[in-house]
Amino acid sequence: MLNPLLYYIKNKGKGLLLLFAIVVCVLGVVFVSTIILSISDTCKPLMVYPYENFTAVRLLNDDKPDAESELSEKAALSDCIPMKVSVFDFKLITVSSSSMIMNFEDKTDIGVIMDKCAVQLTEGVLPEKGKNEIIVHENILKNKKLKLGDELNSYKITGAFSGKPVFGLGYMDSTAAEEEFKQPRTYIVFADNDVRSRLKELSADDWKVYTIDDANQDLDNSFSDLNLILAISIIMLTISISIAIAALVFSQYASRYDEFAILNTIGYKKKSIIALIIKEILIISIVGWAIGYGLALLGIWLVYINVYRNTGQTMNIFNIVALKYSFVPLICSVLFTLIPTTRKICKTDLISIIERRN
Amino acid sequence: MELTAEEIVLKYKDGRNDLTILNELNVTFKPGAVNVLIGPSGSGKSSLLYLLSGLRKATSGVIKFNDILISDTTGTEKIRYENFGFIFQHSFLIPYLNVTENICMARKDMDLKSKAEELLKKLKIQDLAKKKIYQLSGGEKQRVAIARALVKEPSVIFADEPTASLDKENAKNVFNILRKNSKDKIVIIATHDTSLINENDHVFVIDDGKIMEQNPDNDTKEPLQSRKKRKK
Ligand SMILES: Nc1ncnc2c1ncn2[C@@H]1O[C@H](COP(=O)(O)OP(=O)(O)O)[C@@H](O)[C@H]1O
Ligand SMILES: [Mg+2]
Repeated sequence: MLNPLLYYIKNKGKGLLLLFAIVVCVLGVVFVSTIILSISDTCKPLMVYPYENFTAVRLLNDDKPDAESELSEKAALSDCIPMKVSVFDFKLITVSSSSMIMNFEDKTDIGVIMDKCAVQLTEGVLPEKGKNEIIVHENILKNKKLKLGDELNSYKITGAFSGKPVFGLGYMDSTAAEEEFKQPRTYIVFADNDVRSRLKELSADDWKVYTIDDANQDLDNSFSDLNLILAISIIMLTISISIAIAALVFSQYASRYDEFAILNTIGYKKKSIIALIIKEILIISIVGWAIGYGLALLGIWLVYINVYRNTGQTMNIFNIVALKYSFVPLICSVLFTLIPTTRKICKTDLISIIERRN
Repeated sequence: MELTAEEIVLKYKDGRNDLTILNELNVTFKPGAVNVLIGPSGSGKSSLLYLLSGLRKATSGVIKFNDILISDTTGTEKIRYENFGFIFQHSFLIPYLNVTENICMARKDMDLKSKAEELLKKLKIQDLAKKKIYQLSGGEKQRVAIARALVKEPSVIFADEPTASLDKENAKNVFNILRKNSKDKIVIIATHDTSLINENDHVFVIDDGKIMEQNPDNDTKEPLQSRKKRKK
């Protein structure tokens, strides 16, 4: 058996150069794709998760006195909670998205809404009825660099909560509430699948019904451009990586045909020479991949700790898509080594390599 | 023990034409004395060694080592690995391994270390054991190649121009080492340097695609041209 580590042990410089190239490529691919993909990770809690708990229903037609009874045909009115929504910017690493504040009338119990949305108060107190007061998700505080007592969209923040969905919840000052809720225009409906599909039957001329499916759809739509950019950058990165790695492995292995010819002459089968090459390149590529992936995770974690966490952004550190992309440099180095070398070893009469030199 | 070639034809493609290098050649090699192949450059000495060792396939004809058919089998590596040793002209060594490691490459299924040491001593290069190949002179490299060929105790040793890069002194030494090993091994040396041949060697002349054993009584230094004419 030929020792697959021997060549790189004896040619440490060449081994380290190849290892370094693979490490840098994997690191680059994983880091870039995780950061880009993290934008959608941050947007999900803003754009999608709220609608996992409720469906939003908005009346489009101002002049519709029987609106409430029409709604009650589709869902129990006790599940339909009128609210007023206001939005604010939520900054992401490269772009900006938005989040919402939902304000309720005094008869609505915010504690119940919090239960239904599975969020828990972590600091401060609940907002007081009849006042412009809200509680917000703790990531909103971080992102907007606010503290309790500060104002957001002219509502005073009295507390913060944690949980999956990111938004703000609160009451309105009594006079404004009276005006707003005389003829409510927006409801959140705590609805199961049946109710959700029944709500969808509401006339689209009068009502806009926004469900979790719509939220997912919107997220996908708003990320289709970003996904295209990601795909293009990954493809460009991949092409340059392929060229770099191909050139490197090609030149390293091209200078070793003499060695392979010598081995074949003294009795090593072409099959075992190819097996040697496969083992060599697999070992170095997998080690390079592991180091590169490890360093990328470390880098991403540092970015998370130092930037994301402080600004209330979310990141999926172990991103499956990034993991998939990380195999591209690995596959490149293995294929660009194996295809030319096995072709040459199988097709040529190896003794002619020695003959030519003699 | 014998290595035989029967009715060997070897043609190379030369553009559109076939170039016939060996033409219905017959020969048998045995142990007892070194077999020296001589002939002008381009006469096909190297080609014949490649055919005999299964490194290249003949256009037609049969090559046998004892009863093993070499000319027909595709995988001749096993025979080379177990039975054949090779010494080629120059830098026929793996550049990044040291002397001992190169010698031990001969077979990976045996521990050759102590035998390698012994051979290095016999070849008077024991001080070089740990040296890299690029640190060696031409003569030293050739001795390392010889050690690698001998270390696995092959039945046949093929040497193609083993003295081409050596001075007279070293060339003589190489021939003497090979002669010492020819008692129980078939040793075949291809060379164009007839001055190294002595009276006990078996000399074969390749010319015009044929091979002829030179009568031991003849003057081995006789020019090939006149010899050929006389035989005709
Ligand atoms: N692979 C090859 N393809 C085509 N022609 C070859 C090849 N190898 C050798 N030849 C030709 O065959 C002839 C014999 O070559 P060779 O066996 O090397 O002779 P020698 O070793 O006696 O000098 C030469 O004319 C050479 O050019
Ligand atoms: Mg030759």
